Amino acid sequence: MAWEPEEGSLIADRYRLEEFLGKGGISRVWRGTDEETGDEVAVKHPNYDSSNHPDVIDDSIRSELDVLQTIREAGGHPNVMELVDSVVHGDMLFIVVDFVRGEDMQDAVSRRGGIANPEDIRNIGIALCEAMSFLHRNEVIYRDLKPDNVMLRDDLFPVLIDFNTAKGFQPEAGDGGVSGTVIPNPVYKPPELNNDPELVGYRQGPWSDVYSIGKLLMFMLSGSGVRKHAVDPRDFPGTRSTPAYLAEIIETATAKHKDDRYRNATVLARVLTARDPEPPDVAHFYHHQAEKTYEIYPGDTIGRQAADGPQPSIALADPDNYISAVQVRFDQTDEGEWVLYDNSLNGTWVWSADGGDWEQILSASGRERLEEKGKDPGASGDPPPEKRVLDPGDDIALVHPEYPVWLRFDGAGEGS
Amino acid sequence: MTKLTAELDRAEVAASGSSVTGSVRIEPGMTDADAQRHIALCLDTSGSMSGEKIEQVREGVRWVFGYLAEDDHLSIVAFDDEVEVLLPATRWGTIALDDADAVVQGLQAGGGTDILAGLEAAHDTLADLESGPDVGRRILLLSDGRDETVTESFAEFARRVRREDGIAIPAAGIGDFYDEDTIRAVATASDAEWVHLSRAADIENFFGRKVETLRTVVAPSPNLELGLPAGAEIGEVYLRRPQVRQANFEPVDGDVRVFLPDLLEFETQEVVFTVETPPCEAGRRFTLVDVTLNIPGEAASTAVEVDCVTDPTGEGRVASTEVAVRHVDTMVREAAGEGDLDRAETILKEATGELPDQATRIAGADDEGAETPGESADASDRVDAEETRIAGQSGPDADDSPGGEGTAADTLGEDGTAADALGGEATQIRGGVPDVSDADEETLSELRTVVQRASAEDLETQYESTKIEREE
Repeated sequence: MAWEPEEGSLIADRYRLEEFLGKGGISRVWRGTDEETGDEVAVKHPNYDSSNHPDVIDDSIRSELDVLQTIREAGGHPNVMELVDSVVHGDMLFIVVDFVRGEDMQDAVSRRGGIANPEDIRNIGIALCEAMSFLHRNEVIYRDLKPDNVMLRDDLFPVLIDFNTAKGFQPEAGDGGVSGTVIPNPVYKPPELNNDPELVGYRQGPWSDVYSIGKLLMFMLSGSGVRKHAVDPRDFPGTRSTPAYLAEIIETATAKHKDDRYRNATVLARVLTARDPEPPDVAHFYHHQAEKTYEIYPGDTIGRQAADGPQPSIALADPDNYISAVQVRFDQTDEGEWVLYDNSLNGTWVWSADGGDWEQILSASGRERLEEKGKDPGASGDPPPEKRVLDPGDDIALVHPEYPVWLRFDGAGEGS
Repeated sequence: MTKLTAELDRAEVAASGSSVTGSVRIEPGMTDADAQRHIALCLDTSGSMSGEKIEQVREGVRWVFGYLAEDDHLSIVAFDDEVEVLLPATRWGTIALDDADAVVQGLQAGGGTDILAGLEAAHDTLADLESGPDVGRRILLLSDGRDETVTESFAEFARRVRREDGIAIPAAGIGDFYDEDTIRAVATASDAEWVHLSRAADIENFFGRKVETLRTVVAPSPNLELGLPAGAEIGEVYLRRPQVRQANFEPVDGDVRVFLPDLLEFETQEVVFTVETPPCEAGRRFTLVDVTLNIPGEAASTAVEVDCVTDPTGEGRVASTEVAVRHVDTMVREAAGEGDLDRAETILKEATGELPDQATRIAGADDEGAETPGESADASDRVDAEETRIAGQSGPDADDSPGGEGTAADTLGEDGTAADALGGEATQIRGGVPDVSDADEETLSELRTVVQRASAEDLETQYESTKIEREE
C-alpha cells in the first residue's frame, strides 16, 4: 500500500493536516494549516480507496485544479472557493484551497428545519447568482449545483465548493471520463441537464443555473428537496406564508422550459434585489447577415454555437471558430444605460450611430494575448477599453469589422 | 416521440436452433402537455402507524397537495380493520386548501390491517372518473403491516385494475415488518414500482416522486408485441428498467404481448428476454423478432434479423456479450430483489460457468446434439422449452414441471402473466441462464457485486438491487 496522508502529515514542507473532514468518490479533504502564513486551509487529495478507477480519479482532480486555476486567473470571486496552492507530494496531487468555516447547505438547512428568515434566503440567492454569473463569463460551467456543494458560513455567507464536475466551456472531444459525466438529479437539475438535450430540444446554458438556484431557494425555505417544476412555495406545507415576491420568483426560476425562466443568473439576482418578480428591461439586437432580431437581458452573453456542450445566452453559427465561446456580455447600469463587455481574445468592434470610426473593445485577457505576441494593443493611441456604453443605432462587429457578423443595437425598441 | 430499439446477443443462429438473448429499449421523449392525474392515496392507518409515521403520512399528503394542478383528481382512503373514504375523488381546483388540510387531520392511527379492502375502496373512488389517453391513473399504496389475504388475491386484483381501468398501483412498504410479498405483488401485477421506505421521512419523497412524474405520462398502459417466427419459443421475460421485475406477458396468436408501465417523459424502459429459435435452413436470413410498441395514437416498430448457419462460430456467433450480461444481471437483481440470494447466487454461478454442469443443469434441457459447436459444452444456457414455453399453456400447473411444485407453474397466472413471485426450490432456475463466462473480469465482478450488496435480511438492499443506474 502506498503512502497515505494522515493527521499531522506535513505536505510539501508547508501544509500541516490537522483534521480529517470527509471523503467522496474522488477526493479526501482535510482541514490544515499553512505553516508559512498561519492561515487555515482545506487540503484535498485523491481518494484511491473508492469505487472509481484511479485514472478517473486523477482526471477528475486534475480537471478540478484546472478550473480553480482559471477562476484564480480571472481574479476569483468571494462566493467561489479560492485556490491557494497545488503541490505534488509523495506522488500525489494536493489541492490547497481557502478554508471556509461553516457547514454545507444541506446540514445547515436540515439542522434548522429550513431557514426561517426570507431575507437570509434572498441574500444567499443573490450571492449564488453572482457566483454563477462570474463563472459563466469566465467560461466555467458548474454542473452540479446542489445543497451539498454550497458551504454556508455561520453568517450564512455562501461559498461554492467542489469543482469536481465543473469544466471549461469548450466541448471536449471524446471525453468519456467522469469529468464528462453528470449524474442526474431531478430535484436540483433542470430537464436539459438530466436528459438527452436532443430530446429536450435545447442545451445547458445560463438558464440552467437559474433553475438550480431557484430549487436551492425552495430547499432553504422548506428544508426539503422538491421535484416539481415551477414550484410555488405557497402550495407546500411549512412554506405557505412565503412572501409573494419570493414565491413568484422561485416559481418562474424553476419553470420546466428555459423560455419560461429568467434568462440568466444576473436577471435572477436583479429580481431578487428588487423584490419584484418582473424581469428588468429588455433590449434588442438586429443581426444584419442573419436578418434576425434577438432579445437581450442584462447578463446575457453572445458567443459561438458549438457542436455540443454548454451555450451562451445567444449562440451564433461560426464555422471558422473566430467568435469566442463567450464573446460579449451585456449589462444595464442603474441609470438604465446598456453596456457591452468584451470577453474575447479577438475583440469586438463598435461603430457609433453618431458617426466616427470602428472602435475596438477588448477584454483584459485578449489584450494580454496581443501583448504576448509582441503587438501593442494601444499602438494607435490609448489601449482599447474592456467595455463600452451602447446607444441605439450602434453597430457591433464581433471579431473584426471585416468579419461578417454584424449586430445593430436597437436599445429597448422593438427592433426591425 | 418515442424511440424503440431492439438488439440480440448474436447475428447468427444455428440451423438446429439456438438460445438467443434479446433486449428491447423504449425511450420516451418529452410530453407536449401535462397529463391530467387521477390519484387515490390508499393509506395504512393501523395502530402500528401511530407516532412519527402517521405524522409523516399527514405531512406527505400535504406535500401531495403542493404537486397537484387544478384539473387533477385526488381521493384519500384510510384503512385499518375498517376502510374510510376521507376524501372522495375531488377535482383539485374545487377544494379549498383549508378543507383539504382538515381531511388530513382525519388521518388517525389505530386498529388492524385490511389492505385489500383499502385497495378496493380506493379503486372504487377512481372507477367512475372519465379517463382517456391523456390521463395518468394511480393508487398509491402505503403500508407497514400484514394482511392475512393470500398474495395471489392481491395480484389478481391489481392485474384486473390495471388491465381494465388503466390504474397502476405503486406500492410502498415502510419499516421492517410489512408484508413484502404483498407489496411486490400489488405493484408488479399492476406494472408499477414497488418501493421500500426505511424511514418515515421518506414518505413525503415517495408521494412527491410518484405524483410529480405522473404529470409527465407520455402514454398510459402501453404494451409491446414480440412477433416470433413459427416454432420459436419465448423463455424469460423481465422488465429491466425502470425497475427490475418479472414482466407481465401473455401469448397472443403465437406472439407475445408484454404489458409495460406507463411511459413517462424521459424514463427509459427496457425489456429483456430469451428466445429459442426454431430449426432453420442454413444460408437463409430471417426476422427473429418483430417488435411493435402499442401506445395510443402512435405505434413504433422495429425488427431484428439473424442469419441461419450450420456452424455459427467466430465473430458472428455472439455479437454482443453485453446483451447476455444485461440479461444475467437482470435475473440476479430480480432474485436479489425478492431476497432470494440463493437463487441469485446460483444464477450467477451458472452464468459464469462456476458450477459443474450437472449440479444446476436444468432438468429437461435439450440434448447435447442441439448444441452448436463452439458454444459452451454446458447446456445450461439453453432455455428449457418445456418448462418455459408460454404458447398454448393455459393451466396454472404444468405437471411435468421438473423443479417440484411451483417452479414454472406459479410464475404463470391464469392468463399467463407472471404476476406471482417465483416459488419452488431456490436453486432451480427457471428457463436457464445465458452463458457469460466469456465476459471480461470487470463485468463479472460487477455482477458479483450485485449479489454481495444485497442481504436476505435487509429490505433496503433488496429494493436497491432492483434499480439500474443510468446506462447507455
